[in-house]
Amino acid sequence: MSEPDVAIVGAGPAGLAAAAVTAAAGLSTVVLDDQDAPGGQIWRAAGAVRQDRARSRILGRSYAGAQAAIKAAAAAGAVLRSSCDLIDATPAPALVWLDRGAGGLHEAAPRALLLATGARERPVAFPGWTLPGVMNVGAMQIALKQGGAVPVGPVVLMGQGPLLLLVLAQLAKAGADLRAVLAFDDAFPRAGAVQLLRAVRGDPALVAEGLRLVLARRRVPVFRGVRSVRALGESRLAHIAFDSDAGPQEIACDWLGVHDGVIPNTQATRLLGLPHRWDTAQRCLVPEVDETGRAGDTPVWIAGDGSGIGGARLAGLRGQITGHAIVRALRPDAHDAAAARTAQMAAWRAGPARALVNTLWPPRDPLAMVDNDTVICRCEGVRAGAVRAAVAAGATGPNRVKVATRCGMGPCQGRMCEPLLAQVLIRAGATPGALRIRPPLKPVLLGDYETLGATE
Amino acid sequence: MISAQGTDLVVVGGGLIGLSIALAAARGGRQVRLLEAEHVGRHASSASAGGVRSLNRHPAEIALVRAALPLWVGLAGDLGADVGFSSSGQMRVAEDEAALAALKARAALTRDLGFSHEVLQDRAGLFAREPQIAAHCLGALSVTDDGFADPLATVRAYRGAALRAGVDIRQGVAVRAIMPGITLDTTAGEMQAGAVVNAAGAWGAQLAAMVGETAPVEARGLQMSVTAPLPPFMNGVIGSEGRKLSLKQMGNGTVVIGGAYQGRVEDVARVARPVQARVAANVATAARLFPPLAQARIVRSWAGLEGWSADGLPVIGPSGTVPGLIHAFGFCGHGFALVPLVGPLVAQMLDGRMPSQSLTGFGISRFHEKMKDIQHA
Repeated sequence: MSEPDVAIVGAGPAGLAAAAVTAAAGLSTVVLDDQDAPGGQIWRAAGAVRQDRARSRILGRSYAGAQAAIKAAAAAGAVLRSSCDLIDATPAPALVWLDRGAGGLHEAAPRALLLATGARERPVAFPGWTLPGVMNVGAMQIALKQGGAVPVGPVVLMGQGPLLLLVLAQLAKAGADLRAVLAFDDAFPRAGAVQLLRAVRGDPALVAEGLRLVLARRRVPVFRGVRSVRALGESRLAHIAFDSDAGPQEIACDWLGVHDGVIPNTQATRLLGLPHRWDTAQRCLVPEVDETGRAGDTPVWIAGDGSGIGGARLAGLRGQITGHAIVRALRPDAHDAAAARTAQMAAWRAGPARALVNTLWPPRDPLAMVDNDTVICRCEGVRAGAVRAAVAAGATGPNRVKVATRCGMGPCQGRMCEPLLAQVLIRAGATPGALRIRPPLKPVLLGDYETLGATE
Repeated sequence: MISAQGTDLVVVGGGLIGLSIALAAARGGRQVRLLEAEHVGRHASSASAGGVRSLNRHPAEIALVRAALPLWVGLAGDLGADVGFSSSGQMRVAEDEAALAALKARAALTRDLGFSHEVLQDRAGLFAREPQIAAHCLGALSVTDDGFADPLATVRAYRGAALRAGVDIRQGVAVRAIMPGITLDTTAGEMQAGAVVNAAGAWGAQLAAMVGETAPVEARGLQMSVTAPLPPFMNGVIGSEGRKLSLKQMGNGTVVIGGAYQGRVEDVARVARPVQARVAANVATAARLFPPLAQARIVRSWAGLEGWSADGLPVIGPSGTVPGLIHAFGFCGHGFALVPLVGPLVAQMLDGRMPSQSLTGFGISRFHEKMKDIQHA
């Protein structure tokens, strides 16, 4: 394969929108995505969902725009490669990926690299969160999207945010046995009228959808003032115990879905060693980019939720903006300034709706329910107490804690533990930073290295 | 002369070599400050594969590493913390007749030097020790009391012992200039010291250059990979004659694969990145030797910056320009085994005593003499 002009990692709304722009401008564009079909998390298995009437009834509403985005990128000439896991990347730029379909590792040295790797769920840790049966609501939704799988047995959801409300509605529609919601959010919205109005004006459909979902939650018993949550069971979840405004509770359940919003997926940007900043309000790391998504003066851009959470609609617009910026850098004569401006204006209008989400559901302190015995790093089984002790003994940064405790050293390379580790550091008065990531980004079978060829 | 900011000894470099020297000097009664530009164990020490190997060493290093081995056996007790040392033995396997001949020649050379630790194993001996090794292997050179340790645990143990011995560890402090006297200009201000040790590893030559001494030592990053845990299938540390390979299975079942493949060094960022194409070459060699590895998954590869000298040997010895300055850097990716020995040896030199093991030939002047030769040629 000759080197592409533009390599895009992630075929969600941002990656697809950017690919449509760069490919239309005559830049050879390849989009790599780890799923079996383009669409990203938000439009996972888009083709299959469309063809399956039962799944389409439950999920259909959130898939609006999926087909148009996929078709636009393909029609412009972008090559969409599914089942490809990013393994390594450098700001040169250069990247190595595992093609699970064709097999083996492959590499490319494009002129521009766009990381559109989206969001991941903020970890919600508490005693027992590692028990089988406890999972993120995102994982429940993936099962629903991928194979139409509905959890069998009683289900409890805990946390807050739009995705929790959406999955609650989708599970209800799918006939799940929903027993309760343990709500992190307040009974009364804290947004002001002006903010609400601006959000409605910017994205009325989104606000209407949100309102519908909030109201739909009333069908399930909602507990507030939730604290001291424990997931209990022998080999898997059997019941949960917690304190609430309604007093101490115990609920038998087979499944507990947890969620406290989403944060940028920084696995790829940390692998590249790009600078990140700590977002105090959102309690997460965010890569530092300019208004077009470019990381400093490198040939690397970041678009969509990966550069700061904005939601699917904004991700598509930011993908367009970045696509235009890449065209301007690589092929200035093909740059469509008017289209770039239109996308920018649309992004500004969509902004307030996201601001409303952030106001309504500020993330909880992720250590609020974490005692010293609670595991922080699931891969290496490192408990909060060990991490706190290491920080107290002078490990004042995430990588020092990693060396001292092995926290973040397992196969997931901090995907889960990093926000928790960062909070321990903040409480101790230290500055959270980026946990270094080592390639491969995902474990690679020895045999899959054969295709890279021995260089020496 | 010691000022308010002064101390008996300043050790520059918080890797294992610097920690070992600081610990030995503090135990000898000196007031020791250790300066580390980033944080303790940041580079080669944490990235090490942890090999404790006397097998197939450079002839000049054999006596040193043989003297270091007994220290590893008692190291956990000495430091008061586990270092994960295991006397697993090490073997260098012959995969073809040419390799077998090379191992026989090596065994003869070591014997002629007066050492008896390297033993030739025939095919039966090799398979008795490593039953799961590939059928094509013909024999091996082995050392039974070699082994490996856990580099991170070793860093932690040395750091803890140094702190308990009273070493003042200053992290995030880099040295900008060294003036005779000795005065150090650092990012945390000027400091006076009776003596200074340059244990700056990959940056050791930069420090030497501050006092007008050149050493052909450059920063390189040896790359390493580790697999997800596998059921136990190998016993010792395995290399292969004529190939770049070092292979071992740790107690937790993971397999560390390394062996002289260099990562890409990024000087400005002070990092080395592993190159996946070289990981590919490395793991292919490993899988040929142990078929069970075909089922393994690589979960992480890394490279740590280390000083590499032109002749493959470390620089250990006094500075030729600044009295009181001693160099101990550039261990070329095999300094880990020497750590427990180098500390006491350098402490002896600081005290003006004859080191208990000869360090003749390791001094920085060896490079200057060679350069003179070239000029006169």
